[in-house]
Amino acid sequence: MADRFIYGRCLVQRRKRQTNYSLYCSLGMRWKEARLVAVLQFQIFSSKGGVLRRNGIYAKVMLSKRKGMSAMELEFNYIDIEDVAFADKTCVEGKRLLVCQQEIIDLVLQEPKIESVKVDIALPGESTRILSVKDVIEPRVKLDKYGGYFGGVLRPVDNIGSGKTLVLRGAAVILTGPFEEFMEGIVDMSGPGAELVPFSKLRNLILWVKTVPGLDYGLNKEITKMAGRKVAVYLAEKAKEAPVSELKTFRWEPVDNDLPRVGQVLMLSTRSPNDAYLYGNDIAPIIPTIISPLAAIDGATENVSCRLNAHRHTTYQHQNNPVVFDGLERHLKEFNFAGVIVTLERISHQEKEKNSTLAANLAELLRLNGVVVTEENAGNPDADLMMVCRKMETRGIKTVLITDECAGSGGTSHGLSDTTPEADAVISCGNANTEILLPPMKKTIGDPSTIGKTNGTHADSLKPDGSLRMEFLGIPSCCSELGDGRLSCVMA
Amino acid sequence: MEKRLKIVHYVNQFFGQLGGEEKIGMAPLLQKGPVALGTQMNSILGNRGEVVATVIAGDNYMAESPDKSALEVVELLRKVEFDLFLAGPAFFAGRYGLACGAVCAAVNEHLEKPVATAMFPENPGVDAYKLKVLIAPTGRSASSMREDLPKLVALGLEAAQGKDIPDCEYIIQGRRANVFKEHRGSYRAFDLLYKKMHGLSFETELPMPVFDKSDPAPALKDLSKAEIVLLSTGGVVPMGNPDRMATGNSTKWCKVSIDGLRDFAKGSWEAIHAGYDVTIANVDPDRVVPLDVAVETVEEGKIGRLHPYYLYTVGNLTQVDRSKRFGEEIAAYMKENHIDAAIMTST
Repeated sequence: MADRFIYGRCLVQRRKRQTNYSLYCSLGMRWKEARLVAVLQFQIFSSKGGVLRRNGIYAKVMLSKRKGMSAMELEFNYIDIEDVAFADKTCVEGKRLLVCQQEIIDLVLQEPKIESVKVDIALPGESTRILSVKDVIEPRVKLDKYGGYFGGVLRPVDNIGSGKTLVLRGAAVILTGPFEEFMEGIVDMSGPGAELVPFSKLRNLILWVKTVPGLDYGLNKEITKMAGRKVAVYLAEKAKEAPVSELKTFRWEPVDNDLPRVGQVLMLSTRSPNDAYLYGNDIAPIIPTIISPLAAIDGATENVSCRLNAHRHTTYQHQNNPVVFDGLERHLKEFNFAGVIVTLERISHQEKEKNSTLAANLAELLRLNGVVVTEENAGNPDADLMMVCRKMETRGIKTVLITDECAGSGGTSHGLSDTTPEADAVISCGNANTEILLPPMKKTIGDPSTIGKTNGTHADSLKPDGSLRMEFLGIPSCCSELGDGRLSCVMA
Repeated sequence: MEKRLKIVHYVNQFFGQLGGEEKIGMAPLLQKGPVALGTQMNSILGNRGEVVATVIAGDNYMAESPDKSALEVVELLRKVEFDLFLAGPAFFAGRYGLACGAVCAAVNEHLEKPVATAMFPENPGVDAYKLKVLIAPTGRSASSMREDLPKLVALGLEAAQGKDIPDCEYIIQGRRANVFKEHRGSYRAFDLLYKKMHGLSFETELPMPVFDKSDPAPALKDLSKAEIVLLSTGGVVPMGNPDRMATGNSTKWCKVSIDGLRDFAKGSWEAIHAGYDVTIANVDPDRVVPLDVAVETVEEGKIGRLHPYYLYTVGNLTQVDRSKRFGEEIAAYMKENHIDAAIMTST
């Protein structure tokens, strides 16, 4: 075994009238050199054993001799944002993000293939409706010599999942533009629509980007997405001088102990090229692979399709992957969170079989006892979900699936288009076909004539009084299958 | 301080104390105030509400065509001011149960008032109306009236509050209803996984649907004498989409004449399915629905005839129950037109 880790015993002393334990290292090495990685076991020793000096409860611990921040330590520097406003200079003052419109416009127009750009602001509780939403991005920047964010795209992949990341928590860049296609979303900042999405609780900078005419479909998306990334990183960079609201360090190492081993199977929808990136690579041509949980929440994966609906993951959701965050919370307590298996949802039957088999192989390689499988999209990928479930269970790996249901407007239709008897533990994220009547909003950002062309809406969705009758399908991430929402279904 | 609800109560001739078998064919009539059961309901309600009128009708009259007769009850109530409509309890009386269900459904639809009824779970009125009307479960006969009447009242009060899922006993309607849970999905997933991994008992949030499988029809004996129709869920439609076919979750299927056509020409036909990249399909729609090859095959004598209409819909996230209906309707069309088989393409 590598000598990165040493095992020893520390005396655990309980302070009088307190319930927390302090660890006093009695190993003969200076405390500063050792860093507690894991508490493996509590044992009770007596002095009769001859080895130790006193009675007491001891903890068998694992310590690391690595200097400085470990490669498996990610420190989030959270700067809480409670307001966004336009100003002469982009910076953060207290908890206000001040944005200079001209700086953003100049930044985006550096790209010659962008014809025009508009900037707006939408705050929680406002009577504002945002149309043609193509992505949502959390402003973040790495605090290292490379800077930037999105490893493999704007900067090298070194330190992705480790080191320090600055996050403007509570803020987001919402990427919109002229209508391109069916899968663009509608976000309300107040009213019943706002209760369904996390974005209505964020302080949003709305970025409307129009590319020059004549670009092909793929290039158009690439340019639009890049503008969104650059603005999100720019905002975070301008916040570097601001005081940090909270520091939160995630430590994660692959460990061996008696706890069950658990992972996430992150299924990503990729029916066409350039739907999602992994470290800047299009995932369409790859086969399933493994990334560390810390990398998963540090921009290793992102949505680059500029296509959203009720059950596609926005980049914001990739950055805030709830399965990873909740898994890390329980890591070394209930289980070892061993890794994230990234796999693909492809169209051909052959590829579905291949990817599900390879994902199950990787789970075996990681010696997993259980997986949480998150789907993206619905309909066709239900087949991939069921194949992954079946192949895992056949190998003795317990599965829990997170998916939404397309149960029809009355809730009486079968919610999934494929099933398997092994799928006996499923978390439901709500019925994406639910119809909702959204009240009129005082302000609409975007072109109202696009309503009727986008998912979840029909030609008569927009009423003369400005109210909007639509399906959940067109509200981005309201049925998010990563499980970051509390919406679910029951049999009624 | 909650409003004191004005309630209209529907009963049959027997519970309306107008007679037995001899009154079984009586048309609905409206009486002011409560009748027998209604008085008992009033004491259960206290100051939450009172029965202001009672509708009494003969079970046979109603059962002949329940939905039609229910409209007569609606007319009786047009001028009445009320907040809630309760019917029954009907226990295991089939005609009474159907009448209660029909009348509640009609009052809810046409007068837009909250409604509720109660009957034995195996009463035919349950399957017929449970999706439209909230139904409380009762015993088989009026011997359990003491336990069951309060259930009807409780369900009525819940219905009056307009809640999607009543907070009292009622017969499950069999629909998926949205709720907000205490914890987010990922948190619940780990709780569920813990139980599953440790062999503890657990409950899924989404029971797997059971798809009814049908046996395929036997193969055609002689293709050269058969009539074949071209059918597709791939969304190839006449240019301009004149029938306004949806690009996803379609609500209908259409037919269009292809009589005399030799192929789906670019510019005259287009693909509008929003679940796949239609660029290649639009260069030549025959790639999605092979009309060109079908015509050639007919000319070579390998297929008898090509049906002169092309049937189409869009299969992008189309609800399973609608798809089932389309299948049944298309099968009926094929039978009516003596079509032997379909070539169905998707995407």
